[in-house]
This record gives sequence, C-alpha cells and structure tokens, in this order.
Amino acid sequence: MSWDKHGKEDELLTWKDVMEVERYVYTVGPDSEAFLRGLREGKILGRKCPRCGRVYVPPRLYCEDCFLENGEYVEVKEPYLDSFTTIYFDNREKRLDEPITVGLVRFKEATGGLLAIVQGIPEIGKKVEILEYSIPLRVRA
Amino acid sequence: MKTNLKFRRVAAIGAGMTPFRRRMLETPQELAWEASRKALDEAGLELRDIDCVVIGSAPDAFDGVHMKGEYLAHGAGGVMKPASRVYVGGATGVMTAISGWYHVASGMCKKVLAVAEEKMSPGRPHPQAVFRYIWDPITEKPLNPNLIWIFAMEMHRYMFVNKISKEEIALVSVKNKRNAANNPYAQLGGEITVDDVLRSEVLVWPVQLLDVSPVSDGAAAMVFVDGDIARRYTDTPIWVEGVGWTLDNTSWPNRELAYPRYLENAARMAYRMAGIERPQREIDVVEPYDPFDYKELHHLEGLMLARKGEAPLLLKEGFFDRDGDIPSSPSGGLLGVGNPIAAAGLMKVISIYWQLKGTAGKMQVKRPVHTGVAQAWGDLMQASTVIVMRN
Amino acid sequence: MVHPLKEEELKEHFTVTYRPQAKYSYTAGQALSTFLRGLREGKILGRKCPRCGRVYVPPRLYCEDCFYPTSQWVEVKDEGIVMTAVASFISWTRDRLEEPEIVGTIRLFPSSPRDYVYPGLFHRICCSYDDVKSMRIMGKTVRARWKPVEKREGSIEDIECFEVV
Repeated sequence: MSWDKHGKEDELLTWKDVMEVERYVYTVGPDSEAFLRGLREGKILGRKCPRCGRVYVPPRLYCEDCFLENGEYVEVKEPYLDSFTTIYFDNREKRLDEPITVGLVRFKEATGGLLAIVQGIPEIGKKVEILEYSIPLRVRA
Repeated sequence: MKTNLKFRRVAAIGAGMTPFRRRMLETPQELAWEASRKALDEAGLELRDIDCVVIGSAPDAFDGVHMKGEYLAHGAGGVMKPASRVYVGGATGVMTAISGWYHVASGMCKKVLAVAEEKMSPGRPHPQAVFRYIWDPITEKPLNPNLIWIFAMEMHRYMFVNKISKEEIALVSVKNKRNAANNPYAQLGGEITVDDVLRSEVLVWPVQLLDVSPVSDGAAAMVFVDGDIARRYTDTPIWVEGVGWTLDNTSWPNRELAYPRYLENAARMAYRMAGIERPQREIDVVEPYDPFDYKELHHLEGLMLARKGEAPLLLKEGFFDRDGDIPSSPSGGLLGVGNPIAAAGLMKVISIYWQLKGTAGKMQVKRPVHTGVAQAWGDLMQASTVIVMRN
Repeated sequence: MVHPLKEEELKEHFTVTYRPQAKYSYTAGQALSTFLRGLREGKILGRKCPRCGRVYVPPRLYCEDCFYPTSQWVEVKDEGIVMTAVASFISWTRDRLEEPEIVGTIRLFPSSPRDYVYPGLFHRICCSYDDVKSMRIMGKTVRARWKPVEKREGSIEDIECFEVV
C-alpha cells in the first residue's frame, strides 16, 4: 500500500480563479416593493397577520406561524435601539478613518427590525429618531 | 440492499405548486410559501399539524443566496421544526419526496411537508455561467465548458451506439409540449412539429433550441403522512411503495454514456421495494426526467420500460402517448412545463400523485392507472432518484 | 397568486443588483499535480489499482470500487478512440459563436471497446463541423496534438486538441 505523497505544498500546483457570475439581479417581491414605496414617503410599513395579530417589519407576504397570507399594511411607530456594534475595519481589514456604529432598530409592538447607521451615543433600549428613510436607515440615538 | 426492510407505510395526501415561468416578481421565499400553502390546503392541514419539513433546492448560486435551505425555511414552514435540506443536483426534486418518505417511514414524524424551490432568473448574463462551477476545476473547467456540452455529448453517444436519428428524438419534444398544453402550470405548452425542432437554432450539435427545456422560476410542495392516519384526511391516499437512488462517479469522460447504469440500479432498488418484477407490464404511468428530449428516452430505457435502444421505436408507435400503453410525461415534463431544477423534479412526483388520485383534470391519462413512477436525474450524468407510487 | 415578469418589465419594479467577487485558489492535489507535470513532459499519466487493475486517467489516489489506494503510476498512450463529439455554437455565457468549438471524450489506449469504465479525457477535437454532424468522427482513432515544449505550463491546455491519426 503506498500513497506516494509529496507533502510539500510548493510541489503541488495551484492557481487562482474568480466566480464569474457577472451580477445578480434580485427582484424584491411585492411586499418589499410596498415597503420601499413607504420609505420614500417617510413611513416604515409592516404587515399584520389577520389571525395572530403579529406585525412583520419589513412586511412579509405570509405569517410564518399561522402560514396564512398577511392582511393590511400598517405604519409602525416608536423605533428603539435593540442592539448595536461599532465597526473599526472594513471588509478588507483596512482600518476605517472614522468608526461606524451599526444598530438593529425595532419598533413597538412589531416583530423583526431594520439595520441602521447610528449617530450619537447609542444606548440599548432607548428610543431613536429616524434621520433618513433609506437602506440602511440613518438614526440618531 | 435488504429487501425485508421494516418501515411504516407512507401516503401522500396533498400537493401544490406555483406556475413555472421564466421570471417571477416574488422572492424565493414567497414562491416556496405559495406552493406550501396550496399543498397544505389540498391535504386539509395547517402548519401546526406538520412535524418535520424537508427542503430541496439545487446550487445556491442560482437564486444567488447562500444557505438556501435556511433561507427558505420560513417560507417552507420550517420555523422551529426539524427542517433539513437535501441536494443531489438535478435529481434533488424526487430526492425531496424520498427524504419526506423516510422521515415518515422511519417513524420519526407523522406528517411531513416537502418543499422544492428554484429561482433561476437572478444570475446574469445567464444561469449558464453558474453551471461552469460544477466541472472539475483542474481537468475540465480550463476548456470553458458549457452545460449543454455534456448533454450534447451524451445525446450524440446515445444516437451513435443505438443508431437513432434526430427526428426520432424530436418526437419527445413534440409529445411533451402537446401534453403541456393541458397543464395550467406550464410555461411552454403548444403544438409544434418535428420540423420546428429540427429547424430551431443549433446550440451544441446535436442539441437544438427546441430539444432543451426552458429556464424557469417556480416552487412545488407535497405533504406525506403516516399510513395509519392518512384516511383521517382523505379517502384517496396515494401510497409511496418504493424508492431508490444511486450516485455514480463524476468522471463522466471515463465511462460509457449510452446507457445510465446508475438509473438502472436506482430503479431496481425501487422496484424491489414495491414488488415490481416486470416493469413494462406493471407500471401504468411514468414521469421520466426530461430536461432534454433524448433524456426521456434514455431514462425510459434505464427504468427498464424499454429495451436498450428501443425507446424511440415504442415512442413512434404511440406507446408513450397520453392515450398509449404507458403514458410518459403526461404533465408535459420539463420540456413543456419548465425547469426550475428542484421544483421540476418534485413536479414530476406531483404529476404522478394527481394521476393516481384521478385529479389531474385535463392532464388525466386515458387508461386506468394503479402504479406510477417518477424519476429525476442530475449532476455530471451521475445521479438518479426513483419513486414508485400506487393508489 | 404569483406574478410572472418579462425582462423589460423588471425596470418598473424595485430590484437589487449585486456583483459577487468570490476569488478562489485551487490546489491540484497529490495525484493531479503529478498528472499535470506529466503533461508538461508530453506524457499522460494514470494510476493503477493493485486489486482490480483499473487504470484511472485523470489519476486518483484511490480506487472508487475497491476503496483501496492505487499504487502505481502508469503511462497511457496519447492515442485513443473518440467516444462522442459535439460542436458548440454557444460560449459558456451562452453568447453565439460564429465558428463552432468541437469537443468530445476520448477513450485512451490501452483499453478495449468492451470496457464500461476506461482511462479517458474530455478535450477539444480538431475536425470539421461536418465530421461531427455526419458522425464520421465517432469511433475514429485520434492522437493528442501537443503544444511546443517551451509553451507547456503543466495544464490540461498543454494538449491543444486531439486529431485524427
């Protein structure tokens, strides 16, 4: 029995390659379209399950528990900071000039949440003010 | 394989699917939900009744979302349940049903929802680009292969060894697109002629445009339950009587392509479990996997419904027509209905399920049916999955 | 109810576009590294299973049937039989090609027509579209056309194509 192993990495041939899908074009689906239209009008929309009353933010076509199509769109209010993190390096491990704080913003009586760039001094559980209705949101703690 | 396996009987009691189309507005999750909801409605169940969820989906790179099983989980009803994803290339669709079967057969779950989804439209310039990464990166990919190449190579080998003409193969495309005209979910149903196929654009000789199934978005779902409780929900449960699957190696340049030995192996396994000794006499309706028209003939031979090289002859005689002895692809198959990979395979199982239940509507075959077989195939000409169902 | 779209209708809807940039560094591994180095020297190398005698080209360190290590390097001929050949009018991105690209699989010698599995390669075949269309090329004996020694770099591309002897 013999494996004839070389074992030295430099004796093996290697080469590099790139995944070559030119790009992906994702459709966002009807619910996210309603959500994005809402953002343009300065509103955060959610969608309510007619059976259990859960409000999904961002809106979703169906309730994952009742498995029924969700009902009306509702505007959700009272955003608060659920958690946050401060980022010092970018994706390529380069130090950022200015650290960025990213937070998870949730809304009163709604499930789900949205990512946001946080200005000011963040504090978990505290109300925030939405400065810019974009993806991600821009909020002031 | 042991033949005296001890397992629980499994019945299919519901199925649902979205129409298959080239491009959908809905996200993959929403497509999965639509199909799952329809399957639950047909079964008369709610999500809280479901014990386990099985998700089937082909490479993540089509939808452009990694962890597709997890991503699809809430649309497939898998939240806070034992959910798993299965994947065996193009054979995934039927494998999803088989996986649903063994979740119940093992006694682990009473009711399983099996969901398959694929959204091929996001990748640009063409989903073809994704297929480049299924090849061996060292000995094959440097030659810039295209997926259709391997099909064309297998088709040409099949034609060469069995002395089959393009005209004979084109009849499959004609038959399936005609069958698909009766299918409300179909993307490409209609009347075409052998001449239309032979005059269509040559992609990779001998494969022409109308030899190939279209690129599609879509989802399909089925509900499988334990045999002891099936009659609580329906008077006409459809029994899963045999399953089989086999994977050959990836070295397709190193083996004979004219005959799919891995499929014969999978079929023998499923037939033995279902007690089928003479497939051609005992099987009433069949859904062989047909991403390309010659594949249907190739698979009918592998399923032992025709002798090697004789499937084209039987096809010409009308043996596999909708009013023939063993109707083949009464749904219209992938050529007519569309090919969202995993969903297309499960669509084949659903078609047999509807045929046996007698609810296939305009697709219903003329002869009475008792035993049906669905089959899928995939990867580098190496995987096959077979399921036998009875009413 | 789902909503099918046409390509041009995409503009009327919100879409998100993303360009993936996954970069990979592949290693050829134990067996294939030697295989590729062999190509640089104009040899096609395989591995032989000591139990069943099956020769693997491209080589593998193990026999898939016996599940036992293959033990011996063997050189196979750069000559073989065309098992199948096709002419591609589309590129891997599905763009139209004016001149078809002809590829196929070759069963390399030594092997016999009765073999179900055999040493073989997937490669380009230098012949005309007509040879493919009429199936004249199928079953023909072909030999590798090697690149000049100085241009070889240890890749499957060191063989330009297979041509009829």
